[in-house]
Amino acid sequence: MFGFIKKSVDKIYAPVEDDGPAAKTPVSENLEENLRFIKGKFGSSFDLLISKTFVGSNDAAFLICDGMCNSLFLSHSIIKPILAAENLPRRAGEQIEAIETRIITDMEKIKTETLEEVISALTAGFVVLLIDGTSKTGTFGVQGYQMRSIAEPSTEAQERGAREGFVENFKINATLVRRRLQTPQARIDMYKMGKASETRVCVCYMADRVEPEILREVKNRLKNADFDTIFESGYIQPYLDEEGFSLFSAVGVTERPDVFCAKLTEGRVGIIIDGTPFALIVPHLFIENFHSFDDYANRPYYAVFIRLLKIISFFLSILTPGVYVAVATFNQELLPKTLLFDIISSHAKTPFPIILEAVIIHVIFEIMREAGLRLPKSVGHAVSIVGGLVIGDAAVSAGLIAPPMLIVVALTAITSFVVPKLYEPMAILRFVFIFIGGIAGLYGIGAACVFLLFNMCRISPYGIPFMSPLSPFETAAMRDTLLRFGWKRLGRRKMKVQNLNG
Amino acid sequence: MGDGMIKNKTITASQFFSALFLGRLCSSLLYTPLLGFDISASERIFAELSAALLSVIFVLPLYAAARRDRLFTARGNTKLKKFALILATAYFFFSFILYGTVFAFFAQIKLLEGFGAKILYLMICAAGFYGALKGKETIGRTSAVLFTLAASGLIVMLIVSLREFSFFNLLPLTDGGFSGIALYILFSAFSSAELFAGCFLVSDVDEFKKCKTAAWIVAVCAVPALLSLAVSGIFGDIGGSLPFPIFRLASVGRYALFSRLDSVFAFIWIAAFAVKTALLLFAAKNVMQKLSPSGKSKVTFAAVSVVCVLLSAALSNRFVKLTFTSFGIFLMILFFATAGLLLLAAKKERRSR
Repeated sequence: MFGFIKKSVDKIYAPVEDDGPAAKTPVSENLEENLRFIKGKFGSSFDLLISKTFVGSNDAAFLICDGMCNSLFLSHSIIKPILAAENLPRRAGEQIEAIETRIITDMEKIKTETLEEVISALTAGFVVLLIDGTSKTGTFGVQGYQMRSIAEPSTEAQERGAREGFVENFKINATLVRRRLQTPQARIDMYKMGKASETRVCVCYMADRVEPEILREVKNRLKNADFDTIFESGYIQPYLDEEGFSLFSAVGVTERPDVFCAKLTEGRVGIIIDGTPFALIVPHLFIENFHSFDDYANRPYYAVFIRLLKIISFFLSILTPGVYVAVATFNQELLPKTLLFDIISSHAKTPFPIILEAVIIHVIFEIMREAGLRLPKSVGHAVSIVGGLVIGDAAVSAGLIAPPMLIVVALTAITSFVVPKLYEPMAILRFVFIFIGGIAGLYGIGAACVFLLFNMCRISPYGIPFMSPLSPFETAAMRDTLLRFGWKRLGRRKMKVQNLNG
Repeated sequence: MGDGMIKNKTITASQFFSALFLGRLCSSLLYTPLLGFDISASERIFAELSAALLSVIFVLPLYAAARRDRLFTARGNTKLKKFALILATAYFFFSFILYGTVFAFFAQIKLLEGFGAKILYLMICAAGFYGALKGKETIGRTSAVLFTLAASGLIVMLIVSLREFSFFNLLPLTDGGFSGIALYILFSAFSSAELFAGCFLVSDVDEFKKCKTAAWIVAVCAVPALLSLAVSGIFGDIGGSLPFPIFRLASVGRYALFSRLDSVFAFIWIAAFAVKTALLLFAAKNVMQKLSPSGKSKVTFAAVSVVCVLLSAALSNRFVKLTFTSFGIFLMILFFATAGLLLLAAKKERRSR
């Protein structure tokens, strides 16, 4: 029995067979041979464009990936100057050198020594010049694909602060970071990940502030992550997160370059991934989910008030439905008599037990939220109206749902949007607490809270406990944890994340 | 994952003492149904304080040996040490069964009725078991958070129940015989295994600062006595007839619209029991790993823990005070045997070095 289970589990977790390290084919001196190889690799793809020409007296070819290059730029800055060039040496190898040093001097150039590197450059938007009789290549950056321009981040709206958000292009994102941290200590190391996608992944850090062990660990994890494609930062996130199950993540996600840079100055490591505006930050602490960039722009007393409001909202969002079910089912003595009478009389008219009522209404709410999120904005509003009417009026009139339950779900819904970073765990925990509240009452919820706390306290992926600076308690960090001191005091000594490990 | 996983291997002194504090707090709630109020209310306070001091005196050499990494090192796995470790495992598991049974009984008569109480008990044990599996850092950090909540709850509880306090309830100062006090002291000091289980955390505490440590020791020792004082001052000798008088403290205080606070304060005891469970099971797991370093020890530990949880849940229906008093005495003997043998083995090892 156990052997069978073990075998099945092993099958699930068995590593996918690897083709081994990719073979490297050096660029040949024969142009036709090179073209044949590249064509063979691209197969029937329409977007590989090969333009055969002569450079001096030698056969040559320009290769590009259609749509990835700026054609105007390509023709004016690369092809025309090369073809119009005079006094080029006769030997093909020397021609490439001359083009690179005398003719195309102001362009991005990379070295490609193998045909695999040539293909990689082509798919990244470079133009490749191959000349018959030499294994040297000219590879120039003429990328010019369409991309979204910098806009205000949609997921992290702020009252104050920059209106710039990361975009899908990693180079623009790196520039946004560099513009804010104009010091050579701000380092941006680039790696390629994903066998098929060859996605550029940038590891950003402040060399004078980051803990070398944390940086090494991040790089190790990225190195060991085995991917075929990476289209979103969420692909990499689990590799950077704590092992084992938890509803909470120790990897922060941000779309804002100002937040990203602020975290780097605290000694954290940031990861920018090409193709997504969502950058990752490690290590990320639980309390940071309640912080926002506005906290540092507003007056300290107001920032503290908002933080407390967010923390209260978090607890209200996960506990209200469960506590309501528990109190109405098991711990009725906690309620004042009049309130208890009202609740009981309204529930007496409904056909379902309170726990089932709570589950149904919260499932409907989640369906509505999901529908509103995925649909076009105009239709999304219609969904909200229909949902509001159906739940708010029809369900109560029909006697399916008790009015107090509506207040509970409304409160839960509103409070859950106060801390959007924690929406995922909150949605799940809400249901967990409803079930526990219905089975073991308020005390069961207490036990579940202890369990949850154990689970949160175990997270410590980079030696920095997820629950710090609350546990282990760090007095110095309190000035920017629940509280937020004024800038005159905050700016005096910059807190580093590695100081929070107890 | 990464090759060089960074792990936070130390715990702070406050986390260590928080775990001990919560363990002690849980035990103080559960002593009464085991020992009753055969001694006078004032004697109980004296007994609580003496028990705390006595246990500290006995446990300190063990902590010192554990800090020097001599108590449970694999190098010293002589026959004597192995035997002591087997006794220690038994001590932790038996202590868990005893206190688990009383807590399950407490859940049954004070928290939830019928099968709900069993589910609640199993849930708390599951939380403790999970904590034990995740290790000392998890237990330490969780304890520190729960300590803050529990301590603030206790302060509020004591403040709101203060109006019912009467010094006359403390009289007469001495009433019962010496044997009752002695039994109480010995039982309180040596049957609850949390202080002994602390040996497994103490070796990883980064540093002890003198003034803070003294304050913590006072807190760990004095709070159960303070609760006994409150019970005696509020209920007097009637407290003897109450099954869980410390829990009753929560329902005494009324403040403004809060007419019933016991349901809220129950969280303190739930948290305290979860930490105590985690501490005991973590200690048992560690000892078992030292006895059998192969991977199988984890499976054995899980199986034995489940049996202990189920056994204590089943025994709570047949709760007989007398039986458990004898069980407590058995635990006392087990403690002395284990601690003595371990210290002896540690001493031998030091000599051989």
